[in-house]
Amino acid sequence: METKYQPVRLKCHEQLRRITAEYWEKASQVRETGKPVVWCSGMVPAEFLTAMDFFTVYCMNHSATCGVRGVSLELCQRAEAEGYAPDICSYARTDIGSALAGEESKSPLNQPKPDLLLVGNGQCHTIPKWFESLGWLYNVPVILIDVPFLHDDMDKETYSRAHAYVKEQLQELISFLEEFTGRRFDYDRLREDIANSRRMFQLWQEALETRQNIPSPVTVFDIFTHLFPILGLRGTAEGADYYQEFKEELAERVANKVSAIPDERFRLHLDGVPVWFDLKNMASKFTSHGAAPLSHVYTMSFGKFSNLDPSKPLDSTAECLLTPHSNRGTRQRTDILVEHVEKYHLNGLAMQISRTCKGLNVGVYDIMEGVEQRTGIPGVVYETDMCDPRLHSEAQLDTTLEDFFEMLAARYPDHPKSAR
Amino acid sequence: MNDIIGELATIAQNPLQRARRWKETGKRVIGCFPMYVPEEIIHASGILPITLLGTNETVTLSDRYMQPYLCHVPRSNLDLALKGNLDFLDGVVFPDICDVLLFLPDIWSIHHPMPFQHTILVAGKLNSVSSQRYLISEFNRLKGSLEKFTHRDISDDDLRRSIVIYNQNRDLMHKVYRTRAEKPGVFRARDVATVIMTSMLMPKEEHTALLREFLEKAEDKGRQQDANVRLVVSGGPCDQPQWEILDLIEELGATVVNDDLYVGRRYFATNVSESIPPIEALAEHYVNDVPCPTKHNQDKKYAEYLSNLAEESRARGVIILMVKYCEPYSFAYPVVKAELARRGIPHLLIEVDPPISLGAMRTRLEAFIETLG
Repeated sequence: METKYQPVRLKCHEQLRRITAEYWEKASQVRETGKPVVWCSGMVPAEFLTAMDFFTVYCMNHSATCGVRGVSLELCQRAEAEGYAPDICSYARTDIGSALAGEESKSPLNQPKPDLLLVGNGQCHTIPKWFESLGWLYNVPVILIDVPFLHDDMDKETYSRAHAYVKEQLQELISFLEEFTGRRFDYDRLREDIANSRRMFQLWQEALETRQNIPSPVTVFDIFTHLFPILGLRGTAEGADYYQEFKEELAERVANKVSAIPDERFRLHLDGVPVWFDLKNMASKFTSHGAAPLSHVYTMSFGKFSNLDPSKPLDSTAECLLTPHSNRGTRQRTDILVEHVEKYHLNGLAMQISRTCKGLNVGVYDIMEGVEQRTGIPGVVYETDMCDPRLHSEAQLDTTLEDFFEMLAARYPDHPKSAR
Repeated sequence: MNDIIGELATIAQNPLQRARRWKETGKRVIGCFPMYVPEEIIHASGILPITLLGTNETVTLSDRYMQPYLCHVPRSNLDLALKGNLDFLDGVVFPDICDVLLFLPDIWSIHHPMPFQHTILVAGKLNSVSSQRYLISEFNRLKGSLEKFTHRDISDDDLRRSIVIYNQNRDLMHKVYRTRAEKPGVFRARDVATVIMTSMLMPKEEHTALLREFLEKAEDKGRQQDANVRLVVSGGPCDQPQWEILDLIEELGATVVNDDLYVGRRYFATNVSESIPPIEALAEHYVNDVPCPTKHNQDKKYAEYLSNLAEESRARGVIILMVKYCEPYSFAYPVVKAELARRGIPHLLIEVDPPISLGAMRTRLEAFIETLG
């Protein structure tokens, strides 16, 4: 029996706790301040809303937190009682279930009700359906930022047309917001908020580059914990300041050769959505075998957001909305992963399939095969889910992962870098 | 009438056969994924567009690339392609109306490259100036791709001619539905499904000629007995008719008087304008067609549309055929359920994940029809 490894918490975790608590404190008072509340999906032009003094709430954050606190199953079941099928996105079922339960919701977060819903489909085409349901339940407007998908065969002309279309929608959003709030759009504030976000995304990206070191000072399981500001604090100086601290601490770990896990033997890509309801246990399944998952789709999602440019707010926002990993075809996703394998010296692919997330699971076999062929590193596929524990079979998962680690151990008896 | 239905049923039973014969005469065929490819543009290029509805059989080969817990039709179509059944096609067109159709084109191009492959980025919202302009530009891009492929320009006149041909076909399908509404039971549900499905599989001109003859003969038929329980069948996005379910409904003493199925009213519900520039007319048609959960923010309108359809058809109840794992229609269901309940229209939800087994379904259908009787 192997001993379960307790990961060493980053020191900035305390700071994270403080700013998260502050955010929720503000959330609880938002009604008194009269600020309008907007609920957002992940890939939206958030700065256009913060510039007009909206309080932004992120629905994916909410579902993930409900997962971590062990209430997602109950909320999913609440949505199912209303007729939502148990095979649709469990993030959506959790969030909708909470909305349906109202005051009775077991959600640990006391979210202020929305005045407006803002959703982007550059993340997937399920998320607009989720937001439409929220719009139906709360009877508030739903604004969709329609982001054409970058198929593998897309040519330049089609891309520029898509870019022009997204940009035009941002102009329409501005007109809508002016009407909604009865105020002129604040372009100065937009540039300021975009500058904050740009700094935040740059620092985030720089921090993530420390994963190139062997051993790595951070794993994706640490990163999952530190995702909140990247959404919740977009457009604010606090968000950027936080990742400054995050980055410095990781740099310090590198300087002192501190490893995120005690005995780093394998460096992996972890696919799929985090298993929020069993996060610690899942982390331990990897780290106790000396496996450090270093690359993950959530670390790729905001790849180009550091290109946000306060001098070209509309153009650069449109580009950021179009180019995330989630909005790209199978071959491009394969290319990105191959780059990560090389850059972060990875030697295995843990292709975790989140059963109810179609946006990530369609094409996963081709991506794995493509990366295996081009880099020679092996992969494994296993199924679970982000928020629905009924789709998680621990016994099956343990067997699959243990076989995989055994295979990796045989293949890479020494440290990955020398082995590759 | 029976001869024509027999002829059409033969085509429906072997859905690719008619197109294969067309191909053998030296012409081209393009397969369209459901539900919103503007076929008129393909028709105007001299190519036969057919709709790829998969089969109602278990898939085998595509499981390697697409999880079994994705909806059936895309998996079934890829399966057909991998088995070589679609080799006769010159190309394939995808409309990216949901997550599965968003990701499938790139997988398809890896495992089954074809001389022509095109994805229409249609999934936009409907209610803004920018999205309408974008939709027009996307339909123009399809036109451009086809021109490049065939080395032949598609003129506005070509497009107008195709729109007229398609509208004529739609008018006749409307007439089938009107006849059914006036004389319930005059056509079996299976026969109506056969009529619509074959329109998707053969040259429109030929289908129109057969349909005319079919309707002439139907006029001689008298009014059928009207004592049966009147039902509307809904759902079924993308998939083939569920023949056995339709038969079972009638066997249990109900009559399907109207439907909101894709291989049904949804396919021909509204005509394309013949008076405005053709590509604009096709874009306008997409925007103003009957509401659909695959389009942005239409669930409420869709629920109202379906409820109105049931009321106007004087149906006693609605049977919803829900394609398992279909996210757009699954998300719309609670909205539909609430609206039907508000209006006091009973409904039965049946999950469809081919191959279907009628056993448990029979008991539920029987009970549902009995309570309405």
